[in-house]
Amino acid sequence: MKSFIKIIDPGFHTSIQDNGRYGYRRLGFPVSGPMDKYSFTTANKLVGNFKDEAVLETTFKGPKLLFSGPCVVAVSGAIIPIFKNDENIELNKPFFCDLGDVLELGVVENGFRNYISFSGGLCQNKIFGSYSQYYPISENGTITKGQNIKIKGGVTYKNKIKGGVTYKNKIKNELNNLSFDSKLKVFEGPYWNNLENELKNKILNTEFKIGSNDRMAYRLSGGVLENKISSFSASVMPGTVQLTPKGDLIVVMRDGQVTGGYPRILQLTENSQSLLSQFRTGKVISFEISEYDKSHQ
Amino acid sequence: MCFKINFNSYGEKAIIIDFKNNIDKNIYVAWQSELCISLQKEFHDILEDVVFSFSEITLFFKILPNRVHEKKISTWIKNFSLTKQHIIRNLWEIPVCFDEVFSEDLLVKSENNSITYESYISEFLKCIFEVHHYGFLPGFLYLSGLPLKLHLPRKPTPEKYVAPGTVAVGESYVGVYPQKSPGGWNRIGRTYCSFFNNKNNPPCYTLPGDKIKFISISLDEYQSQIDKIHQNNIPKSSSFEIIY
Repeated sequence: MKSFIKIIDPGFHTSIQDNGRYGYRRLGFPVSGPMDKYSFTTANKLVGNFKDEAVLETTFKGPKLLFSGPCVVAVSGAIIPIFKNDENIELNKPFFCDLGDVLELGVVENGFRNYISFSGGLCQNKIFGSYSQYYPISENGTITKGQNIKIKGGVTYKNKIKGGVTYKNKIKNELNNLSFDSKLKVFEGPYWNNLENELKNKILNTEFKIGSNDRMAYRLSGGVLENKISSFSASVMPGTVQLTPKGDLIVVMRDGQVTGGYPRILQLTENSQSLLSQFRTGKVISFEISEYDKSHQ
Repeated sequence: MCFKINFNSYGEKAIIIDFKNNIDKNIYVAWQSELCISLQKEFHDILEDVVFSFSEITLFFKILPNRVHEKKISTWIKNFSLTKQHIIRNLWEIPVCFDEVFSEDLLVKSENNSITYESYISEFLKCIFEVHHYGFLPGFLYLSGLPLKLHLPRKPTPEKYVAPGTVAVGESYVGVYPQKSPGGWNRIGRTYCSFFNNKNNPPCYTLPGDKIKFISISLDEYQSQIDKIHQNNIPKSSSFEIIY
């Protein structure tokens, strides 16, 4: 049975995200998908979704939703107040919503983004293989006030809660470790070894401050890294750290361009991308080089 | 065609194939794009995307790639390069209005430079450009083939708003903005043709290796057609064959 949620208040910046849109990068399509993939996957598993189904990604201030039918729901990501009607709900714990229930998220206390998952996942307007919202590929870049969003059904409530609770016990330790650590793990980027050692050391020993940021990119500044490296255009992907001539860093995020004009000096690990997307303007971070894991070769 | 293939890691799940010293990027655009499309089809179970830019091809994997994958792909590319390829591409005629209201950046530049506004446009209309690749925005084309004397440096600070359909020059490249966007290229004209339509599949009708010729139209003609910008308004074209 299909039901839907009605958006009473969309929150600050809330969009539908699944795992992303692949196969269209050569036409200039960004991949989109969740900024914090770790919390996205957790949220899906908590409601018993075994695949990466479409969820709501919220930023800073969460939305207010009205349910039209039965559904298991969970919220992961930033520390945030969660209310079902007047009842206080825990983060990372699946709960049941039915016709007439209202779910409301407040303002983040620590972190920046949350993931609201629904049993079966959201199924509103799949385009070019993905539910992820990105304007102008999808009609809108965010959910809008008054909109109804369809939810897939299929599995019983009992199974869902059971699956969710089982999963929660299994990942309890991992969840406790979601640390908001400001040291981001990176791999060397394609251009890294063309940099002079002095510049490399500066980059690894500098604390960078997060400037303007959104789903396209995070800008970091703080180092004295002016350089005369001539610009060129090549593929970039989420997590790529580019060095501008002025010495700022631009980290490409999920809705970022597929090609970039600055040298690609570092590449954030997937977990570090998740971590960075939980930070906002003013937060100070630094980098730590990781080795590639060659064990699978 | 014969060349050496170098694989370089880019993060955990991407590999860069460096073509810098191997092939003439200007001659083999259509070939490179065919290679990418064929690679993506052939290895769809392990590759999620294949992208080429000016001097490299980037392979995005669904899985952690290993040496066995590299070897398979490298052998497949070598075979592809030894097989004769018949590639069909199109020459498109794109109507552009060069009225001063749409070419304000060119007016500014022509005041400071040796070339006049009128002669810039007449030289520009003589060019036949090649679609190099898409990037920046969905459906944003990078067109190559701009003669040196028509190059315009990018603006130090990008404009906050560039209108859809704007034809612009950034260094040696010409681009057409498919949607409103911030942009640092120099606006020289405006077309009512849209290069991206999310209702079509494929959403972009031009392919790397296609040729583009701009045709000058009046402001009246532009305005009479502008309502069609969101419709399925595909410009005139004629096809040609490339054999490698």
